[in-house]
Amino acid sequence: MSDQSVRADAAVSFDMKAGQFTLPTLVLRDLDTAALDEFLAQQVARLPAFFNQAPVAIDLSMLPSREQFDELPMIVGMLRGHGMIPLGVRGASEQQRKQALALELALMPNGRKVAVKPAQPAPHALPKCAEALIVDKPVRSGQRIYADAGDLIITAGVGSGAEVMAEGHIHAYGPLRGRAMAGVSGNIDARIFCRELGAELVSIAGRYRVSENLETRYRGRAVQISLNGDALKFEML
Amino acid sequence: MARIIVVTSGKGGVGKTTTSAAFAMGLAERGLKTVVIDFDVGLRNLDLIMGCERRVVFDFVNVINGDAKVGQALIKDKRNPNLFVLPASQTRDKDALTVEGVGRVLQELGKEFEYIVCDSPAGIERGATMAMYFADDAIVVSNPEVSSVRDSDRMIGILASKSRRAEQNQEGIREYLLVTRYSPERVERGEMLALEDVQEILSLDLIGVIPESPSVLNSSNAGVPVILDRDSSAGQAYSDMVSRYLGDELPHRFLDVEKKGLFGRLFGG
Repeated sequence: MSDQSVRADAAVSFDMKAGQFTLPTLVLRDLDTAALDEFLAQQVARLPAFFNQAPVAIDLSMLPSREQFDELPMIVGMLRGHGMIPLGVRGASEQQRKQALALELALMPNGRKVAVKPAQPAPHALPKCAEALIVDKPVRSGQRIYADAGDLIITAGVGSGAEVMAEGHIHAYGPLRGRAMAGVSGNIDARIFCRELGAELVSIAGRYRVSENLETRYRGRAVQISLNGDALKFEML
Repeated sequence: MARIIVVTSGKGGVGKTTTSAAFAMGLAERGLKTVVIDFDVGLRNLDLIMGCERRVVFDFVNVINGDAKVGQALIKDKRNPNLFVLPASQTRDKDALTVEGVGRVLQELGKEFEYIVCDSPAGIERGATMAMYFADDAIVVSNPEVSSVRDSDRMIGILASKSRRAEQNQEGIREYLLVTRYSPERVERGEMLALEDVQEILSLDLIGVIPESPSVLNSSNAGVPVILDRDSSAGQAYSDMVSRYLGDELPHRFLDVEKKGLFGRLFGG
């Protein structure tokens, strides 16, 4: 009973499985906590539902100093205050790891080297052939579907009061009556494709428009929605 | 083990209790031993609709708490020996319901009865989730009206995720749509959602359409399940619905505007 022991058998009531999660990661470049607080408040205001109780990681690899820093407990508290749940750190030095341990933060595996650019910390580069989440049953009012690895394809209807979200594109082949949010972590290239537009709210990378402000000629029609600068662009399909 | 059916909707006042009473009586009339349970603890109505409000001694919560045996709380219907009612408590509220308690009572009832009809309260909180938790079948009642339809959609989503069957990864609850208070005249005038619109939004198997009818209020005043009013359109539609549930394929009636002849217009009806 060697590697067999981890797999569930009928008598055992639990399983250890490999889970895969995409985590929004806060990349720290300096320790200006006041600016950080303001920045977090802005992010949360843009996508409140996304950040509420969201697990996040803190990347320390871009900090100028490899020493321990007093601000870490404050930053953890700040993230929590904004509704997020910091799970762990990555890119930490030996001393910083000890700090993380004291705060009961996990050590996340080091990812690719983050390029230095004055951009928002949330990852927005999608792999070329992203994994799509396919949903073929109606999405009922009050349900939420989130495609965290790429595109979302829905072949049945999305009910009024339902929410569908994707890191990548959203393709809705049934009537789209609820909320549709594409590129939720900031992917400005994400689009929404639908066969029957009746959505209560559409959004791409946080720029949104409610149903009331939708032009009448697009209602009920096959439409493609994309982001043009800061404004949503609607085109007939 | 009995088949457990929940009659639910989300929205209040659409006809769940009316349907529970009529459906349970319909099953009993076909010789099937049936019990109908009121899950609306604190706001009980089923006993009034069934006409047994003056015979309530013990209730569902008494049985869950062990103050009484199931047999002491069940009220036998005076019109049909196959039909029993388990009333709700009026002095308690829905916090008195527990999964273990409800499960125990249902299990005990399951030994004696073939069908258990659970009359759900409105809403999506404890009372409603308790009523649906153990269900095998669900009758989702909806009026052809936008807020009712949206609430029903929400309820269907909850049925798919919060039932015991869903939690244990078993075959899901079999869901049926029942449209109530349908008025073909108002549909024709564009005041009411048409049947096709409701079906399109909810995507469920249609088990029946109950027309708007004065007989529903008359029956509830008299404490008689409306299915026993054989002349009324609502009563007949409920009868059709029971047949469909048991496997008969019947066309849906009372969908079209009735062309009244001279006598019809003189004498109403």
